[in-house]
Amino acid sequence: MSEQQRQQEVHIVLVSNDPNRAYPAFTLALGAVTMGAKCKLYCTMSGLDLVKKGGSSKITMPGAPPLDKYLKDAIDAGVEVTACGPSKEMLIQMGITKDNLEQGVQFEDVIGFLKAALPASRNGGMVLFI
Amino acid sequence: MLGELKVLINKSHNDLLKANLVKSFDSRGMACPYPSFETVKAMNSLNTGDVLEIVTDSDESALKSIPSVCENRKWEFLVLEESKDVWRIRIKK
Repeated sequence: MSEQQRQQEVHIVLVSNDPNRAYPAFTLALGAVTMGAKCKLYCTMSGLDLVKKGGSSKITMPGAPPLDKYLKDAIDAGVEVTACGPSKEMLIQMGITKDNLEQGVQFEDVIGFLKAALPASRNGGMVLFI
Repeated sequence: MLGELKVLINKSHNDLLKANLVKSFDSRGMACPYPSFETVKAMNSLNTGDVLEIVTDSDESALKSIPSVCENRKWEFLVLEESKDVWRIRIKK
């Protein structure tokens, strides 16, 4: 595939449930697919609160829709949203199971993330930590 | 109606001025990047040759973001100024 034909990739690591970080992460994800790029949003640590069923609807900011709209729109538009917990115990402590992840969100560990992010980075993609 | 619209950017073969609009949506009040995001979504539902019109109250969307998306996706477009804070963008698929 030529340089021009290759789809650009944006891989975002979201580690926070703070609206000041979560909103820009989703705004960037929606913007990336709007510009025709492939995008992944990898949620870990407090970022996991966003992908727990009902969690994103509690994250709000004046002047913008609640974050659950961004999450649903991102998934519908093809943004790959994944959830990573450093350990099973941590996920249990956070009350996160396969059954209470938002629809369309998959579990992924850091190796899975890097497996896609490393070649993307080599090919000029963006890997961001928010 | 056309008489009241001022052409600000024309990256089309002029026929967008008198084009038959297949779809339109109002993006006024939408948060970033929804005007551009919804534009792509709407365009994805159209057939080749169809024209979409977007109404916006954001100069950033009208003059920069949506034109950038169109150029990125190689869509012909036209930006019209309706009044001081209202723009219409027509895009041909």
